[in-house]
Amino acid sequence: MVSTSDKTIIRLKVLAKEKENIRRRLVVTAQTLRLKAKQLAITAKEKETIRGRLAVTAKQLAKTAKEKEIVRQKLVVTAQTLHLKAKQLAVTTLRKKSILASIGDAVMACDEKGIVILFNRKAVMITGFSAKEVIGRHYSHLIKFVREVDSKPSEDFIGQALKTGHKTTMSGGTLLIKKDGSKIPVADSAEPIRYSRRVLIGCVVVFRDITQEKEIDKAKNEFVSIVSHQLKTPTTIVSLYTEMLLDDREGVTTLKQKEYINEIRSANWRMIEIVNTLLNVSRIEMGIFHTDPMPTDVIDVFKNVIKDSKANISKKNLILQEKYHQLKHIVPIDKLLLNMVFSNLFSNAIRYTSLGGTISVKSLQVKKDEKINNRVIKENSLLISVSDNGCGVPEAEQDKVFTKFFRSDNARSEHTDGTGLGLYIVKSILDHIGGDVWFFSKEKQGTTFNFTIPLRRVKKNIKK
Amino acid sequence: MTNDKKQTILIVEDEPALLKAYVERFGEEGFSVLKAVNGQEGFDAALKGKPDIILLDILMPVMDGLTMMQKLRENKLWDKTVPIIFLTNLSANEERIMRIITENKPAYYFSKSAFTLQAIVEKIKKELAKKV
Repeated sequence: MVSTSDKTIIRLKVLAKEKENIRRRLVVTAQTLRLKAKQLAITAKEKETIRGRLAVTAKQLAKTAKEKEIVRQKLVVTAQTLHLKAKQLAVTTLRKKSILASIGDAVMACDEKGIVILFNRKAVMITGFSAKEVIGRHYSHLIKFVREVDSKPSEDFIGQALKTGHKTTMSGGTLLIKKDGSKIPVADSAEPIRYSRRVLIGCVVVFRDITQEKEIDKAKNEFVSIVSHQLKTPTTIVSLYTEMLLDDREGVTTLKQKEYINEIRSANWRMIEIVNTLLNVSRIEMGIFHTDPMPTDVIDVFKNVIKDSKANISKKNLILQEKYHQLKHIVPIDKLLLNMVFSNLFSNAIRYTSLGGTISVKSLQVKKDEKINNRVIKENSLLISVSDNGCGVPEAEQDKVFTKFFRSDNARSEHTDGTGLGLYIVKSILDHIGGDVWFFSKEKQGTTFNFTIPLRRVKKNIKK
Repeated sequence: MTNDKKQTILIVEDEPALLKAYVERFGEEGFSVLKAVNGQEGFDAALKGKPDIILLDILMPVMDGLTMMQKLRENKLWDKTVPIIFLTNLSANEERIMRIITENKPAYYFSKSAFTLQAIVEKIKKELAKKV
């Protein structure tokens, strides 16, 4: 039998057990709660971090937006400026285009490879090629220049300008072949174009039709020729009759009269020489100079000229120095032309050197591409130099020395006679026979003229 | 002249003053002188007078000197060995003249203004001496 107290005790024990159970559960719950609280704390912290980060990003975004706005504003300004500039450029380009188009001379521009990039209206007119045909192609494909004398291609002055970077000028007597095959005389030059003064980026070729100039020149030359021929007859008559008077077969002329007649005769000789010089010039220019290249001992020709000048040399008490290359040079050349070249230079040396001065004549052999006084020798040649220690050519006038009718101021003041044609003739003759001539001079110290005679090849014709 | 017979020279020149000077000088030198003032007259005088030598100008009216020479050379009655000396103010540089002269030997060329009367006389005497 179970007593009541026992029953109570059992109940109590059950109760205690339940309590214990509940407590335990509570403990577990508390632990769980603590854990959860901890986790919540962590989450909260993380969230806080993210929030903070977000705040920073937002700030940055705001900043970027502001910057973008500034850039945008700047862009607007730039765009406006650009628009304005484009407008100005369009105007300038248009102006340049119309300037180029209305230039009286033909203008062609090439890039550094020789590809044509510009071809103006006049160029189209002169050549007959349209800008479309020429632009984008190498200049030499369509635009061809030939020499008037033999119709052979002329020197490539455009290529030279591109290669050397120096301005080049087309040699005289050049013809342009038009699209239709006809030829017209032209004159022109090629000027290199440089970017910021250094890099060569192409060249500008300017050329013009000189048909009319040529015609005028021809008319002028014919005029000179006719006048000279007309002058020759009267001078010949004076020459013959003064000779007859001086001959004086009757023996009636007094010494005084003979003196006067001699004055007439020498003045007449001067006139004859001037007329002959003028005739030679017009012949050279009209291209009707007949040349007769014969094997000629060059130095022999010089020696003859010197022999004929002996009287003038001793009259002025000049010292003459001669120094020739040891070899005898027999060259196929026109004796008369060679004589004209040398006697012009030699008589100038005598004329412009004062009493007791020194003149020297030298010859030496020079090779192709050799450099003599900054001058590149074009082919194997005989180089002749004629120097004097005379009045010299003033520096300011030196570039005009070979031009027609030029006489330097100091020469003119000392010697009133002289046609200013001698050196022009020298240059023309040497141009024709393939030689070269140059000089250096210092006022009051003297002058040296150098000229070359090709040793192998001599261009045969001067005539048409 | 060393020859017994007087030698005959024909001078053809259209400029009276020059013709006169040549005629007088060659007369003084002992020549028998024929004269003409253009190529046609010269041609006729040459055929008729049979000169030993001819002094001939080139530029003349009616007929020029070169034509006259060519016509003479083509003429059967004409002695082709008679030397012709051109006296002209044209230059020998002119190719046509030189060509015709070399084709018609014996023909010579003298530039009037470059030579004295004395030089012409000597040249002519030399040519005539060659012939004898």
